[in-house]
Amino acid sequence: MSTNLIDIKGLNLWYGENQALHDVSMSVKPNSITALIGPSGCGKSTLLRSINRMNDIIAGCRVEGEITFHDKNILAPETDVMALRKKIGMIFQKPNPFPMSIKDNVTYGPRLHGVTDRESLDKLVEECINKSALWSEVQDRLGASAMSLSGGQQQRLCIARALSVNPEVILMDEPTSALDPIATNKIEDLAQDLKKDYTVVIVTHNMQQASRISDYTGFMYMGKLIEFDKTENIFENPSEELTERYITGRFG
Amino acid sequence: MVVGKQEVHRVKTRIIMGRTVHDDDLIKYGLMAVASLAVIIVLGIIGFIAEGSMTAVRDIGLWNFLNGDVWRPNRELYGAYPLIVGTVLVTIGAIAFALPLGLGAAIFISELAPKRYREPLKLISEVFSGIPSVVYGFFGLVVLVPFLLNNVPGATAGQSWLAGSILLGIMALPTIISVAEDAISSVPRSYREASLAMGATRWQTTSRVVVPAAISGISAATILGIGRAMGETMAVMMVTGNAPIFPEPLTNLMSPIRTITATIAMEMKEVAYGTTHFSALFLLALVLFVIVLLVNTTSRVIMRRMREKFNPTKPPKIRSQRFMDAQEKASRIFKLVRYAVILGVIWILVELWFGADAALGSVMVVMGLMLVTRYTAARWNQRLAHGILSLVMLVVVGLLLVIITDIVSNGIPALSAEFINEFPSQGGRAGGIYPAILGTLKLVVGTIAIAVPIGVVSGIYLSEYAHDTRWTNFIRGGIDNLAGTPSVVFGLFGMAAFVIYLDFGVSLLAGWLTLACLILPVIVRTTEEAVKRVPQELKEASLALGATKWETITKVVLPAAFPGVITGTILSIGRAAGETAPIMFTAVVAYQTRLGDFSVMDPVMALPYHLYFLASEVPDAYDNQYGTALVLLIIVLSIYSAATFLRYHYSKKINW
Ligand SMILES: Nc1ncnc2c1ncn2[C@@H]1O[C@H](COP(=O)(O)OP(=O)(O)OP(=O)(O)O)[C@@H](O)[C@H]1O
Ligand SMILES: [Mg+2]
Repeated sequence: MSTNLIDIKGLNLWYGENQALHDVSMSVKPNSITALIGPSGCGKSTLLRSINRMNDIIAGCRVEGEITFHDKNILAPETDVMALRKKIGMIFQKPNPFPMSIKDNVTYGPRLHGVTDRESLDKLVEECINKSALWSEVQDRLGASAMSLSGGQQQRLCIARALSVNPEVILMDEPTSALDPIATNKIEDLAQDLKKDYTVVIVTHNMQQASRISDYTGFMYMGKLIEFDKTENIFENPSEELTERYITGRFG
Repeated sequence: MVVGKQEVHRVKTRIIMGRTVHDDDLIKYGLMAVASLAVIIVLGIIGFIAEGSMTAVRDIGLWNFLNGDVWRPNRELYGAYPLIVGTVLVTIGAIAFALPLGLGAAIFISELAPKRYREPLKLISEVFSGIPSVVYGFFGLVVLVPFLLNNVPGATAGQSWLAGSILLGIMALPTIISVAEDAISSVPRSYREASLAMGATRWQTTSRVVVPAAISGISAATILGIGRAMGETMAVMMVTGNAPIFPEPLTNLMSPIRTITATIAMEMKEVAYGTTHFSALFLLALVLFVIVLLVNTTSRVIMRRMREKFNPTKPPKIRSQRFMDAQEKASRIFKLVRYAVILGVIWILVELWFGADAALGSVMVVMGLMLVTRYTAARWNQRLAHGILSLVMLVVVGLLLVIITDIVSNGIPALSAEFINEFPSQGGRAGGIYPAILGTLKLVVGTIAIAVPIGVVSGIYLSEYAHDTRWTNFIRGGIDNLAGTPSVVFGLFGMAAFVIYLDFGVSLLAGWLTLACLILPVIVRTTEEAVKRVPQELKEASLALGATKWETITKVVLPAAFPGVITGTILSIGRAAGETAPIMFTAVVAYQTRLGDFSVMDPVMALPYHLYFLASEVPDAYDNQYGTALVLLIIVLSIYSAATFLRYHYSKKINW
């Protein structure tokens, strides 16, 4: 048994003819925050979406290599993808609550997986919205449309929604890039809190963000994982020149 | 956008009545005047139909008319109630048939079909809409009606409510499929991703997120389908038996029934001008017009709401908790009602064929299945659902194949050189259809010559000049209403306005004008779309070079939009060639054995009407019926394929 929750080994990925990931290997420790940084188009989202097999829905996408989660290879064909995604939740760049009420957004997942009892659903709603630090703002309007929330609130609702199915890992793909600084702060604080109970992998364009909140950081470039290490090492003492040039803003 | 540049570029002006007027303004008002024609036509329709109804309102009284139980003109009994009920029942049946199929097919096309099959499948649904109504009616009469008669136990006649509903359902399919497919595929991808990322299956995502998010579009599709079904004339008239009675009991699907449209189409030809009966038919048309107007307006409002929802310009209202609770309760009740309706329809259909025991049995089975699927694995439910959806798609494609193969295989033996270039003889049993082909050609050419210039100009005005002023919205509304007006109402309007009022008589000219009104909205809309799609940069580039707006339009915009305009024109040719109801009382005669000199004041024969005539009056002219149907089908479908080909060709070539 390894101490890693997720182990990625020799991952190659193609969109049709285009290879988007080249031989990527990295590991994710439980109850940590792992950040992925790198210039646009370098494959951060692609790598992230491989972990919960969201790339399956893209026609022409092909993967080679191994990703283990709890020491089981999730790329194996016999993997129950639905169960996997239940264990590995995802937050997207643009807040994407469903066009339903706030409450229905949070009960959507549990209902999918067979919870119908109203009382436990109500309890779950409160619990998850509480955890995502949104409760005080919406407790008296749970029936309102999720579309009536501000962008930052919507994103926290999406986090509550992801928490509702009791995942172990939460993948976040630039969760704050569509938000203002205050909302961004809230999400960052939230990510720190979540670390206690969950494992977080976050893609970000914002290097301050990565250095502020993450324990480990991976720097990607042109589909390759150039360097992966403890965050302080990456930012204070990178071993690759490319990484140093990127984090000091002397790139391209 | 352009406004700022207008001061910069060279402005041509002239002096009119002591005032300086910009050339561009002159042009603008000219275009607006042409575009306003749509409004004038709508007002004309309302005016002429209402005027024609006055006698009936006076003689019968509106309330007696709407509420009377008996429609028997030869006894001076004009009770429209059974006709209204008949229209509503046939429509309900049609939607009960078309909604599950159409929605299923729409979901299949946008969610299940591999990408490369999507366009072909959409095309198939377009072919449905290309088949003329009279060809559907003919197919219904010779295939569907006997089929029902032989297969429904205890049926004494095949011409029935059920036959009408099935046929109308098939005809409403393309509307429902294309609008619903549009609504479903425009649900943002991010919703799907969010749902899948939570471990939902594709089917769970479709049924719980995508379809609910598209629900307003789907409702709009349904309502549009209802509007189409209500206004349909030829097909219903040929298969419903046309007895102005209430089904006994009300769920007796095999009862004959009669609709408003069929009544107008059947009786208008025989009735004397100026009588109460004559006027009563106008009043019927008015009632129909109002109903369809309400239906179409509803669907438009819903559509607008949907667009608003996905691209909100203002934040949604925050509702009180009580309102939300009530809404939740309502949606739960709605769910129950939905299940009840589904089960009811299953019951009625199974009972018709296999009796009450079987009906009870199958309803139990379906209820059981609904219950069981709550507990079976999501993956199995997905398999079941996808299986059903694929089956639905297969049925839709199958229906089309059945119709086309039947007409082609039975029609081919009738085709020959003589059939194409000889006059009919023996009342249509023998000889050919030369004058009908020629007549259709004449009708189409004149119609296009009138409608295309007006339509294109209106389209340009709407896309390039119209801002959201009240009058422009009026014009848009007029065009939308024209598009939704039942074709038989156009027929009546044409008769009142052109045949009688302008005294053209039943003539080619009256037919041209009537058909031109009918196809105008198609041309306006496709032009507007095509012009709008020309990129703003292109227009600005031309303006920046110092061209006036009008120069830009004629030299840059129109050439770029040309393929779209042509497509619209071709589509409307197909429409004009296949319509029957509008020319029935304005332009056609049933039978010509020789042609005199060409005159626009003479009536003509036309293919669609000839087919109707043979099918309903000359039942033993089997070969010639099929031959005529095939020729009509070939003409109309090749016109549509030309349009489709063009559209695909250019959409590939021009990539802005
Ligand atoms: N659905 C897709 N189909 C084909 N190619 C894709 C697809 N998604 C991404 N790619 C390609 O894969 C490469 C990596 O894309 P990816 O979205 O993972 O980058 P990213 O690092 O997340 O960039 P950004 O910071 O802009 O979000 C890019 O070259 C992109 O063009
Ligand atoms: Mg990305």
